[in-house]
Amino acid sequence: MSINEKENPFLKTHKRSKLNFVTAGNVDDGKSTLIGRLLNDSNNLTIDKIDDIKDVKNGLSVLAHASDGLAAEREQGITIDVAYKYFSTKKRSFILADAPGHLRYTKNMLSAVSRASLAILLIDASKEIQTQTKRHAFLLSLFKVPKLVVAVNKMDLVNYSEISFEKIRNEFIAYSQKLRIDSLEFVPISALDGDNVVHSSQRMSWYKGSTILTILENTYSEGDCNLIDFRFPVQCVSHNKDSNFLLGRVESGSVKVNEDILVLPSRFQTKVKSIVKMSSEGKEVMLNQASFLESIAISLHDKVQVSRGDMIVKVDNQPKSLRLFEAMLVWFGEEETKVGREYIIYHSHNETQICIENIKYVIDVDTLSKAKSTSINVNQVGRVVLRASSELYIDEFQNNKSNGSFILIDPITYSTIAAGLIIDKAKLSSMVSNDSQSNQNSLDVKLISKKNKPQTLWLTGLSASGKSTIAREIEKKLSHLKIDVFWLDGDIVRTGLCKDLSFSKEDRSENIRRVSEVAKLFNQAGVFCICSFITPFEDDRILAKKTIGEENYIEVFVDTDLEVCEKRDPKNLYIKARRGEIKNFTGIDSPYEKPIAPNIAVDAGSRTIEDCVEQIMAYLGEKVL
Amino acid sequence: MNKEELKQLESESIYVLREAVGQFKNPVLLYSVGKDSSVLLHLARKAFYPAKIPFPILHIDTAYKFTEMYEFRDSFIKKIGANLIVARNEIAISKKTSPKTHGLEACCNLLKTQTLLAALRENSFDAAIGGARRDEEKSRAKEKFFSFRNSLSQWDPEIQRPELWSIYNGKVKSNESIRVFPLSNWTELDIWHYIKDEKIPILSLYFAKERKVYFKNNTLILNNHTLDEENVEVMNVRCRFRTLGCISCTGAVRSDADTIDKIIEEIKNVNFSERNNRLIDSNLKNSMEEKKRTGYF
Ligand SMILES: Nc1nc2c(ncn2[C@@H]2O[C@H](COP(=O)(O)OP(=O)(O)OP(=O)(O)O)[C@@H](O)[C@H]2O)c(=O)[nH]1
Ligand SMILES: [Mg+2]
Repeated sequence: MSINEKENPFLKTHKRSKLNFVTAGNVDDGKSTLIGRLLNDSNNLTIDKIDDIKDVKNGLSVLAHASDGLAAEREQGITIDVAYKYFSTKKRSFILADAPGHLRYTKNMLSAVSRASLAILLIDASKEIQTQTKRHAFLLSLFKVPKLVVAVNKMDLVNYSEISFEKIRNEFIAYSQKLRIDSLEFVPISALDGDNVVHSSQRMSWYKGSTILTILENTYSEGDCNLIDFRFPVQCVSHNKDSNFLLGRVESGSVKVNEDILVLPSRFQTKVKSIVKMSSEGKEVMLNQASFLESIAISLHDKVQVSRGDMIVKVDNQPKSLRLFEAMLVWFGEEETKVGREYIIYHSHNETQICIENIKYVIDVDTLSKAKSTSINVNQVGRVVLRASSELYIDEFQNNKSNGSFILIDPITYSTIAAGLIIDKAKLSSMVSNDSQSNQNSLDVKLISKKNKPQTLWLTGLSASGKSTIAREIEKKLSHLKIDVFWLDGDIVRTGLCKDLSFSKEDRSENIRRVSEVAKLFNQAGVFCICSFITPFEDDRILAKKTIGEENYIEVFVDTDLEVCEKRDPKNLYIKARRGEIKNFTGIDSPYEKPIAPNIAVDAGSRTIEDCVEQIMAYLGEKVL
Repeated sequence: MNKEELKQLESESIYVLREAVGQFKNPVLLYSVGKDSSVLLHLARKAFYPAKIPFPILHIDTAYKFTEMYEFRDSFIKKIGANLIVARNEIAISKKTSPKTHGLEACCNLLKTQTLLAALRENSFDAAIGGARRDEEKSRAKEKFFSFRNSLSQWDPEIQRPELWSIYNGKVKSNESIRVFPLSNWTELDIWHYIKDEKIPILSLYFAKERKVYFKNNTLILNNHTLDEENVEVMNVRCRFRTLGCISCTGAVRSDADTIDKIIEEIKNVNFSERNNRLIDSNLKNSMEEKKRTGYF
């Protein structure tokens, strides 16, 4: 799937950065072989390298040796630590990290994953999906790798059969529904023979999607940067004649000269005096501003004591300052951890002591269920409460990868024994979704894989027809797919934005006009909008469509018979209207004009809400998102 | 090649250099006078600007370097006002240690690895910043930005510290140390584009011209008066060096590339890796891994 560049000029300018990607999957599923194949078929193996990967005994090329460069790896036929390879095609340059699959080397795999914008998860087509594959899939979603490509490998062993491919695909989808994966695609390949790696496979003509290389070339890599919250953790301070320079990298957001800033932990408020860099000739270059991932030197207006580990932020946008916080830990230490154990934490250039205050649960990667536990063992993932010996300035990993992550170091051996991802307490269940019974189907997966353009779903229908119930379900589904969504409901709007309006024809029109304008603003801000309003008049719906924009307006007619609605009457409104206690009630003493050409009509009278939701999601999946 | 890619690489390297200074008491930058070292030094100047580079520069001199390298080194270091330390294994040099007398591996070990380790020990450096790139060689492809070395300065690729996000664990006990590789993610092509964009001064040995050379193991070696081998057939060949090490072990490549633009074009189309002309590297299948395990960088 290629994304239309013209639609988003921002993405276009950013597209030219190198793509960092990683291979993942169980041991022996063919990760290194795929890398060798990719390098070879894209003409990125030089003669001496082709020579180097020849087996000494039979002279045949061992593709995996293109990245398995250690003597021990070649002897054992297994990857031990990540190999970084660099290659380019006419379209793009790549930094690829070939990760090991063996459970023992999970920490090495995660080193590569933590920097990747895309992961290729390999699954052996001739086997069931293994626990280790699930563990990798879970870790990829935990670490928020923005895009996942599942390569169903060794298709040569299953006779290139579409059925085998579909089986793995469905099995994986069933598992991954409980994960947060932004974007997912499946490709059937043979790494050994090269099918669908660089060249399309003749033997799998049933597969109409892209090759691995095409997907890599067309993936945007800036999907997950935080351009809003300015965080500048100080790496070191250099003293120069009259002023001190704070050296560091803008980890998120941006900053301008003369802007008001706050130094943490001293909470000293001052302004940015200058942002400097060195020119190629060794001269000073003054910058007006600096943003995301730029390494810069900053001087401040006032003489403030600043040292490594301090953080510069903006007054009106501060991280949380906490000693007690929650996190997910991936445990690497050979020795298990327990409540009460103490370690060294590295977080945003800060080093301090930390204690495991509580272990809430560990995750079973097979079922993704949470189990009570008093310890976290090597390669397990658990949720903990931590107590730091001094305050840390933290963000949630979900919002800020850099300031939401940390490592734990063993105080005796000094080895890195855990990777940590900070969780906001308020969003307790967000890392692993709880609603395992949510009946997502493969359509949803398709939804995720397409870049969505924010639009407005406009539900029209009689009072009690089921608009709000459907809207709520759609909202859940979309936010589950990580699509930003906001739901505007008639009842709620009437208590605020439109509380001055009656139910006369004029005021109903004004109500719709205001709501359409709001919906339009949401769309412009990048948010998908759901509006559930009776909207009884065709004129008003036309107005809404015009305001929101024809291409962004999706009309859903929630078609439930008046009788059914009247029987449901959850708020006793129909009774009151019949009694004449409410005037201008749609269906009773005010008309409902049926939509002439709705995009979708759902029969919410005789079919279940689930069916209606699925019908709408199917439409969105096919046509819109 | 686009500017955005180079900007990102530059920013990452500066970040790593600052981490080295932020985390260690006594870091040092290893400078070999070659193209990668020159880029590394330039980045170090940028990283701490407007202050001077806050650590000394260490050159491991085997006494077999190209004459031009010595001149270039001294004038350039003087120009930027850095503090240069030159380390030589005087005993081995005075005993005329050479590839001929000791063989490639032993010579390299005595003049380079052991000299380096002695210099690190004598000066109590706890971090050594080097210009090695992952793209250069298959065992270097396995390196971390902060690479742990035990108390004997040995690298064990099978038990490396994981390296998550951009958080580097540089904690070491006495005698242990870290090798820091800010250029990990740069390719040879990136290096040349950057040298061009930043106008970084570079040795003329990298540019093609007619030079007096002879063949040794299928490799073009510069004819040099101090190390002249007997019975060699000296030819005039238009050539340049893709990497620079010791005279007798670094091969030249036939080339017409006498400008940076031509070098860039040449590298784009070349069908051999960069270190293919290093006698020591190609001598054995895993020679770089072996050298790194003993303390080479
Ligand atoms: N038949 C067949 N065999 C394959 C294919 N891809 C890989 N293999 C074989 O699977 C074995 C393992 O391949 P590797 O590439 O080393 O596996 P890996 O995933 O890198 O393994 P680790 O890195 O150790 O986790 C090798 O013997 C490969 O030749 C394929 O498409 N078809
Ligand atoms: Mg492998």
